[in-house]
Amino acid sequence: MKKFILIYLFFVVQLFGMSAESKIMKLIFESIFQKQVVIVFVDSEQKSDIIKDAGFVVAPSCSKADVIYTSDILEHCAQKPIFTDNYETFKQNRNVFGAFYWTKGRPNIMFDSKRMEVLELILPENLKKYDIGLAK
Amino acid sequence: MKKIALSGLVAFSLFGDDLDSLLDNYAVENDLSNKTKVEKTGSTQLIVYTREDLDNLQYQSLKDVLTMQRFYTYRENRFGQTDLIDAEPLAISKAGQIVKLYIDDHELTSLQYDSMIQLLGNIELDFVDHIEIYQGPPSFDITTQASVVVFKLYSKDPSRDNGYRIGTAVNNRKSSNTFFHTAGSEDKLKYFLYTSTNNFQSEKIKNGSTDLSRDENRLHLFSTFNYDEHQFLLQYLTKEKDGFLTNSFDATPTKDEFEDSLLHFGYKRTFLSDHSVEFKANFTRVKSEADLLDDMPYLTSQHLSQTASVNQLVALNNPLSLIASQIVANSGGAFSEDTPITFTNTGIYGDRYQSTDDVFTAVLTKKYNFENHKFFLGLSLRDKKLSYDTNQYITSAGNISVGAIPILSYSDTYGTLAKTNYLSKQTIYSTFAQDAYSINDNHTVSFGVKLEKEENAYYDNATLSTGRLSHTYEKDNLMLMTYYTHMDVNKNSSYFNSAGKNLENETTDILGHETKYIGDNFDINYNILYITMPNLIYIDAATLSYVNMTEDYKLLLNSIMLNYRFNENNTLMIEPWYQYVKAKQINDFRSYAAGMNSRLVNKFKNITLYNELVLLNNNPKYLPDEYELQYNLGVTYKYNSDLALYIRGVNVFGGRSGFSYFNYKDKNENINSIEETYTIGLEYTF
Repeated sequence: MKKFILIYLFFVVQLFGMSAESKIMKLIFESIFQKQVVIVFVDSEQKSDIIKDAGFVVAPSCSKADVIYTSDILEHCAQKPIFTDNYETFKQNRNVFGAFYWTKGRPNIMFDSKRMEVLELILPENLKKYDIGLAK
Repeated sequence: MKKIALSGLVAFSLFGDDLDSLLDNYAVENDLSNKTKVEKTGSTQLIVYTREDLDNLQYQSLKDVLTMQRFYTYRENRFGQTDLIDAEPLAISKAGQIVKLYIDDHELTSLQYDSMIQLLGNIELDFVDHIEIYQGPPSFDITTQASVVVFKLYSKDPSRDNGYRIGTAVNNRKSSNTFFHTAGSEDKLKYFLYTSTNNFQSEKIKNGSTDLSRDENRLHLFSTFNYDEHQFLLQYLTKEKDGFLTNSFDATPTKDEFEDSLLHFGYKRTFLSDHSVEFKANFTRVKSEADLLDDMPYLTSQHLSQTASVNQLVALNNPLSLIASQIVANSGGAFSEDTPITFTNTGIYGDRYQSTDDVFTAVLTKKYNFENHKFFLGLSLRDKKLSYDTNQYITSAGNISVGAIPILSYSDTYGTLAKTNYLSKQTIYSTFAQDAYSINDNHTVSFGVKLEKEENAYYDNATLSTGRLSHTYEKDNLMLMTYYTHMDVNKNSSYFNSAGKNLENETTDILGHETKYIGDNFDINYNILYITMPNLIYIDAATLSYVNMTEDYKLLLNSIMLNYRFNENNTLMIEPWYQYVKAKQINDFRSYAAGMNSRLVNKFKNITLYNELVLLNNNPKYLPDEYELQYNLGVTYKYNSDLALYIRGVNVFGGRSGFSYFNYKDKNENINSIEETYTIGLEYTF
């Protein structure tokens, strides 16, 4: 039981030390990829810090990653599921399944469940309210 | 293994499934003003109005922010323009010299309006993301200009506000304002475009047969463009305004028309990977037009002729007079309801002018961080030009007898007088440096120095110096800061006299201390300032010319601010303050004032309520005590994240909130700078 409490506290402390952005990324990727440690390829140092802060692993190349987190489309990673922080990238590319971006002065999250189906991903119940189902 | 999975699950459940609340936290954590709060700790007292504050409070203009400041509240001068400190006499504004206004880190200044707080003190806030207020002389990374209070307005970020926003509001005095903004991006270009129209109506004050008006119509266009490291700002503002009392001694102007336009271009960029080198340039052009006519002007708003000196004697206790109390105070208690006292006046009856006021500023700075030092070095150039395209006067035909009611006829013919534009050009070269040295984890000493060369077209050139020394002690939640600042202040165009070319630049010395403690659900900040101005420029009543004082003008200011958070939805701010002013040379004038600002904000789901109370008690020598009370309240209802409706009541008890004027007919008269208004408005984002 002591061990359980210690492990529990470890997780709790980790969570409360995280930035809100890391918490958001942790929630999204854990829910979608159904694993504790998601391997993510990123396009910037800033995103790398966020992903590490979330307790995930930053992949050295996109071929080893579960998901790509990027602002613009990276041609050599186009076959992987892509999550973006740029609404234009989300709108224009079919393999981008979700976006976390600023608009109208506030942060927003969007997913496209139909694109996710093609990528063999399932949008979990807790994220369904952010589904816009672009389907193109 | 099961236990690990279980603990992970429990920890996961701490998030809940509520991504919405995480997004809310993220928005708060990433509020643009947070960057300032982190970077600028250790500076003088910083008050921030965040984006959320401005959205919840639905402040209509900078006037609402100025109202809630310690030591002063929003005031207007005889022309109905913002003037936080003096309000009288006429166009002289000390506030312009020590209260600085910035938009997107570009200082707005001019020869005529100095800090432009006079011109833009009621600028609308719909284009603003957040506001930083530095109360006390700040360190050089905030401003290198001599200042006691700095207002920094930051416009909305193009990368965050893409989309469209429209809003409109009307009030019970038939004032209205409408705004629209959009932001977006095209490849590397990010843009923010904003426009607003404002029509301000205020109560017309009847003085004899004259309706005194300070109505204003304003159009404002504002834009920013970001491309890589380059940041451009372009704005244009034009306003037509009624001149209220103007320079009419008895407050019965025949004509009182003002029109101002501001064109502002700013550019900023950083260099090097650590962005430690910054260059910014700023150009403003203010074009002003005025058409004034009166039978008994006090002084003209513009530069007088060196040769124009017609003596005009006016009885202060004329039954038609509506005299500013400060004028009475300046008379040194000589006024009496029964015994006439006289003022010597210059007899200019009509004044029409068009002026162009250009300011160009370029600033280059470099920051070095090494070992325990934070070093800051910079150069700046500021060039100011003021020219008159038209300048015409009608002069008087004769003098007025003591005690008489003036009855004069005008000639329609305007003549052009030879007159001197005393500050047609001013160029200021500056170099400055500051080092903040951390002695250990708790103690930091900061020292800054600025040297300036001021070249004037009329007055003698001057070499100015500013120095700032501070010690900060920080441990856990406690911060103590003690500082001393010496400032030489640049001359401005208000000194329109021919007293001589050797008018000295004013000097200000400030000794200050603040103690700040941050608790779990509160923070408290005690602040004391002792200000001495040994050579303040003022109007000598005997010669009606501007001269340097030979004795110190002194102020002692005290305040304590408490911010208390009952929980995340309910907050209270309360700030009592006290000030003492002594000016031996102005008839041994003394003034004691005390006040308190407070604000309670409560949120219930989609509804935000706020209540504000402003109290002030002023006890100036020679004048009756003044009591002021202003109570504001507002409700904002967010139907959803895109649509907000609000109702605001300002000065709902119609309490006194402005300078008093003395009316010998009614014995006393108060003209509110903050009128009783009720506003309803909505904002929609799409």
